[in-house]
Amino acid sequence: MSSLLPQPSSVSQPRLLLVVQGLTVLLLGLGLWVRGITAEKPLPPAERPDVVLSINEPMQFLTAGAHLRIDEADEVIAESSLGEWRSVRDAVFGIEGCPNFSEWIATEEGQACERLLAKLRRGTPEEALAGLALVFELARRTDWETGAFAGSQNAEQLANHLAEWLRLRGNASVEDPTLHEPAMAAMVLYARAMRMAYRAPIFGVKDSALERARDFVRELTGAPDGRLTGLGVALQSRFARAMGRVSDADDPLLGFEEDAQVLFPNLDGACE
Amino acid sequence: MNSPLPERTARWQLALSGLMIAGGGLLLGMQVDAAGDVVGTGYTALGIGALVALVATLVQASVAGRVPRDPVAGFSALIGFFGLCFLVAGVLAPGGSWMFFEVLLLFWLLARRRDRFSPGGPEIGGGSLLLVTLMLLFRLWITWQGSEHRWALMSIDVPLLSSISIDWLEPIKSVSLGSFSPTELGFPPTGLDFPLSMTMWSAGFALCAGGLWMRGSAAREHESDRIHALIQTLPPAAASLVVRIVYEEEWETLGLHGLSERRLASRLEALVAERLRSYREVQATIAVSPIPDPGPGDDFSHIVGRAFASRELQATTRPELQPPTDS
Repeated sequence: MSSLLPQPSSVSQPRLLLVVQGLTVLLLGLGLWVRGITAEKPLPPAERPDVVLSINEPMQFLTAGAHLRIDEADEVIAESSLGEWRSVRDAVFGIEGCPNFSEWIATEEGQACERLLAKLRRGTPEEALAGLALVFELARRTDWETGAFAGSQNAEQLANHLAEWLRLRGNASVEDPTLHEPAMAAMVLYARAMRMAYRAPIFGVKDSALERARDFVRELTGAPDGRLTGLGVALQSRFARAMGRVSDADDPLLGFEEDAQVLFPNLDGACE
Repeated sequence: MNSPLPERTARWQLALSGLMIAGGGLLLGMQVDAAGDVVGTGYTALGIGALVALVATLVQASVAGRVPRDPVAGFSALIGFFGLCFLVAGVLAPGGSWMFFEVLLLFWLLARRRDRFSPGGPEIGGGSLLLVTLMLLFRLWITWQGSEHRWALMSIDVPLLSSISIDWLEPIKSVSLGSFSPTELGFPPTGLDFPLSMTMWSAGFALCAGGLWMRGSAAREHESDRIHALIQTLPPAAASLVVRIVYEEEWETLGLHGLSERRLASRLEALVAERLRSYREVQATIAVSPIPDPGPGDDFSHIVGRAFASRELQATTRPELQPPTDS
């Protein structure tokens, strides 16, 4: 008959059909399971149960009470640098009279300090922490305030020292129980110093300082492109609001400066 | 039975649509956080999607009171349910009052009664597809706003005030409309990789929507296959006659899709009988209405018109029948 009834299709492949249906069921199950994956907030290394801390409460080396514990660092500095360390430590922790940051760093003691800082940030995590403690103490004991007459030079120089440390140790510190928190603190102080430099002029702002700082923070954290670096993830977890502002074209450092005011209220460039 | 039922494309279409829906559901269920890790989008939206799909399935099936008649139709209904479930879950705003407004809208659109029976599971029409596409765009918009740490639908700068560079004026420099929070959006703690997540969601949505459309088409095809299979059990001449009398294009509108084998057979029988009777009546009418040969330039409607006119003339000139007398 000239049939209007359905004609056989070209190939009959029931086995392949079964494979496709099996794959469908597998994907359906996977689609249901994947929804249950939860993201856990990354636990700071120091809070992990299996971690043994070489230095307990490392953030105390960066706060106003650092002079009470700085001697402990003698035990972690390499024998070859110990003499130099003691000399610079005494010099930095003995600064009196709130000298200008850039003037002090240009002195003989200041240059010795810079040489030691370069050595320490390439050393062990404990040595890197000792170096960062020196920078924070300098920020506490020298004048890097900005303004109509002071300009922004001092704040930018201080920020440069923090940036050098962050560039070398920032992302590597994320999984280190000694440097995890100090690295974030360094970022917060860096942002504060650079924002102060940005706002230094009476009329207008210093865009070059802001642009340099913005590029540096974005490079170091990965924000705002979506894929964060290790340090970016840690900062997002600890300073979510500040990280949110990094994508702000006008004032990307505002969030970090607000956090700096809370964390280090006396580190404002005017000596304590 | 004349020959075994040939393998048709409906099963393949159904299998492929199922694969598309399952793949789409997988993509819609994932998001990538700022650290590059895959995180699930949670079960809240999926639960609501399942509820909407369930109600839509029940309401649409209750129109004709029909259920899937074989494993293939059952598979089709199942993937239709999952498809609608994933699609709704994928476009819903992740939380807050927005979501409940959207759910109400979806219930009204997807779970209302339809005039037509949709074989083997819920269907999504053109209007509904447009609405869910708009919902997806809304979800992508608020997610993008959130990924940029702007926790509002939009922010409008206040004229003059916004141009003054004074910190303490910040709170009143702009007005935020439709604010929401990171918790409402279900963001991972480290933030969202928006470009990658958006790509996955869009691809998942396209796969689900495409899969649902293909499933609807394949489900109809499969119902037609069932009817063909039943007709093929007749002797060849009778089977050929049935498909010539009751065209395949009419099967869905005649309500043949989704009927049980027994009811399908009796309905076909009734339809064939009814149409044959009509054909016979038409044939009888034509037999007593001589149709002249077409002249040059005559079309069929003119010929039929003339035939009826001549029949009318005969009727008016025919002597009236006398009523029967008692003698």
